[in-house]
Amino acid sequence: VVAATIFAWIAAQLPWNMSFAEAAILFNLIALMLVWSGLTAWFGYRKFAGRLFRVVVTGPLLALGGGLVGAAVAGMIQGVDPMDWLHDSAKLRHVVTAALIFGFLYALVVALIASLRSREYAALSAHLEAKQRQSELSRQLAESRLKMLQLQIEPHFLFNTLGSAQQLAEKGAPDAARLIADLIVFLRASTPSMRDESATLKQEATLVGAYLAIMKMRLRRRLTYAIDIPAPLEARTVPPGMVITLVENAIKHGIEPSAAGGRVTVSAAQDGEGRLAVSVADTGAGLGDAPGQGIGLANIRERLDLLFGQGACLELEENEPRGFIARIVLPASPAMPAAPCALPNEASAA
Amino acid sequence: MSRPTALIAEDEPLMRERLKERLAEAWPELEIVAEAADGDEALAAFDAHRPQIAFLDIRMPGRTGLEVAAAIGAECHVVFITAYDQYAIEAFDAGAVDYLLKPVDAERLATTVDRVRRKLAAAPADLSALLADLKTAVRGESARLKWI
Repeated sequence: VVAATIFAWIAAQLPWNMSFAEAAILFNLIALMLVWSGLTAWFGYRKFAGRLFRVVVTGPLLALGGGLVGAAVAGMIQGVDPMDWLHDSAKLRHVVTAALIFGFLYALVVALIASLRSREYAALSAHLEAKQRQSELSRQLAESRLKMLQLQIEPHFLFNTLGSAQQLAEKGAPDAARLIADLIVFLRASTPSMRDESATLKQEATLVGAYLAIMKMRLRRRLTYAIDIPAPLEARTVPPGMVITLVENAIKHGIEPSAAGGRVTVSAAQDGEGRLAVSVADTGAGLGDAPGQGIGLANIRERLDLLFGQGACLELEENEPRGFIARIVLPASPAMPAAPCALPNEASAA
Repeated sequence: MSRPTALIAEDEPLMRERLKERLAEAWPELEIVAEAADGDEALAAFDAHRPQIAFLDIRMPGRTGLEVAAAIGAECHVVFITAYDQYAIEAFDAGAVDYLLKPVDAERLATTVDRVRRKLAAAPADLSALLADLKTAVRGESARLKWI
């Protein structure tokens, strides 16, 4: 308003045949128009993207048309011939000059702001896209790293087992050969099976059996265990490596931290719809160690989700009187996903 | 001079037995006065027998070997035994004389025995003095931080 008033005062001093009031109205209109066009361009810059040239051309043309129509209407109101400006070159010049100034100012503001905003928007979306690609890449990297972790045998396990075998062998104990035989079964079964797409429950039970036999030899009376897989279920396929991960967790978080030790029970059952549930229960240290957050479990959840979606799940609950139960529920077949997996103990698992 | 005394804390019976046998060969005059299968048992055994040396497994039920060392390290020489060397730095931070990898081999154990023997001639590593030093250092630091 201040700037418009100053311009109006200057214009009134110039020999433009314009009163201060007329100039004030004119410059306030220009200011309003500039603000309006600026706001339109700022918020609606995407409307203008790619058609800035059109704005630059049509803006002044529309302003010119508007100016001429306005002049005709003004002539009619004042009782003069509406086409008066056609005969008066001075009036025509005024109308055309004013219209072109308005038009060009409008187009300039819109073009400037819209192009600036478009560039900003393009930069932002490029940045977001790059960021998304980055996170996708790092996710894939993390996944492949997880797969590597899966393939790794824990060094603690390996060195402690070899040390025990060495001790038994030096004493000439017949247990030494059995321990080494179990270690061979475990190593052979655990490495290539991870690379397979699926394994039978029987194969997984063999791996788990070898692992538990080794741990029994090492932990002695601190560990008892049972593997109960009904014969009809032995041929069922399961994602490889999941059951052994649950058993390793039971040992690592349940039995090993407990001085008294406990019992590990691996069992499988099938319901009427053909859903398979494989459970690993221990009576060890229990939830104190918060095993629910382990990398192994998160990995199992992610793999189940990728393979079966809602049809499979991992349930975790506390065991009675102590310890922990982890259960994998798989649909009858991956091609025919069953009803969403029930999670009766979601609250206690979380 | 009386025989040196030691405590062995290791949760796996076979590994405990192995260390005991290897020690009997490498250091015949060493007397194993107590054995423990977990951290709490180790602390109780230490209080009951006051051995000069403690061989501590790091991963044990209850208190870990590192926690046991924090409690008794000022009063005896600690040697850690572990299957994997991920704890090496923490072990030496806890004032360990040595750090053995399982399964323990005879040659490496002989080096450990040498080190412990030399330490036995001197006083045990005084962790409490070190802690007091640390506390004063930390206090000085916080005063400066407050000033900032």
